[in-house]
Amino acid sequence: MESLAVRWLFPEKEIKIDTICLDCGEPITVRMKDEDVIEVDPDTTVGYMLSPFVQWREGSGAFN
Amino acid sequence: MNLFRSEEHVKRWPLYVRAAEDYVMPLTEWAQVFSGPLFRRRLEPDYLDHSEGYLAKYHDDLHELGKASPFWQYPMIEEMDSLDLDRYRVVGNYSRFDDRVLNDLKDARNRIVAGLDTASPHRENHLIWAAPGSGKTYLVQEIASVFGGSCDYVEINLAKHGPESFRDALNGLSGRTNPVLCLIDEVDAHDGTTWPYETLMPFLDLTVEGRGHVVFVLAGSSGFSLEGMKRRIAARPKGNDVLSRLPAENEFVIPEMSFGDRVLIVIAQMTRAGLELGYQIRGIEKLGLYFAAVNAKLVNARQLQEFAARAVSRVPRGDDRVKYDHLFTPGDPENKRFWLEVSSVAKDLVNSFVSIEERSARS
Repeated sequence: MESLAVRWLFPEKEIKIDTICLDCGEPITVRMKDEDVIEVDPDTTVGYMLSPFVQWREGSGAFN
Repeated sequence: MNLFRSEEHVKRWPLYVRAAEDYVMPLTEWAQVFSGPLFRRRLEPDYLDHSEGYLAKYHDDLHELGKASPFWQYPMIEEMDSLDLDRYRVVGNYSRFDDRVLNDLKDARNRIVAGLDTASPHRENHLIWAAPGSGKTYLVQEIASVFGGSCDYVEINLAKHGPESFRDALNGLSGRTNPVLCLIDEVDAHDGTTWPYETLMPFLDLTVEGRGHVVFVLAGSSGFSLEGMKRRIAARPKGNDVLSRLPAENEFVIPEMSFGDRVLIVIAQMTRAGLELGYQIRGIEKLGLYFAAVNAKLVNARQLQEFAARAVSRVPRGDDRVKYDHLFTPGDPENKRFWLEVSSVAKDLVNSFVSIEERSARS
């Protein structure tokens, strides 16, 4: 299950994601509750999907 | 989903793929994508009954966020019922899909042709910056072919020459009966040496000094842009002297191939391959065009051309259509694999054909 979608398994509950940046290993924290993104730290955090749409044929194709 | 502290961190990641840069997005935008019913309704008992619609919504959400990757271009093919190849022709068999590119390159063609038509007292030299794989050599060859036998075409790839052979090649341009169109390809090669521009510079004055009728086209791909390439040339010994012999109005850019260009090349090359085999291709199945246009293994125009020719060779005699199946050798698992991958978005491309219109087909 995608980390950003796991909140839908816990309606009305606050979800906290603690992870690390894949580049530098420094922490990233995201708090969400249903529709709301409560906190993103650092606020410059981005997501990157390597597949599937540009090189999806070499990737998982998971969402095609 | 891979999370990074900023976009700069993504781009330092060893697994970062520049072609997928569309999919670097702020976390809040990804959160929006992952709020769709495909994810939100996983706990609902009828989820599987509606999953196809949920998947379509997910694709729509991504599309709305401005993702311009080839995968999303299928509506362009879906809406394309017929295509008039002549409308996109720059010169000969060199075509471009996008209007602005098409018209800019037609202007460039006209200027080069005018320089060859009449020996002008002015310099008729040109500078091209071309994206890799954009077909610059082919474009210049096709311009020369407009003249049939009444113009000599000479191609000199600077990267393949040393000082003496480069001078010999240039010496061969003067004393000819016909006007000469000379492409100096990779004019930005041999960075750090002085001989390329020292050698080239006096030859750029051949025509104005009455020693011949030569139109030079200097072409390169370095520097990421025309201005970038000019800066690199200017920084080299005699580089400014070379640039001063290239009129500013004779500079142009050949952009990289767009999705539309790839579709156009496939159609044009299939039509051409059909003519070479002795029959006219009048229709191409849209799914086949989509496959060729998004295929990352078909990197440049030459590969697309060879791919198109192989496909046409599989068309049964008497048929005038290239079908999706003709793109593959029998039993090639790629056929089924691609279909399974795109069937959720591209099923309307099956058994639907683009009609080819061409008034002035050349073989």
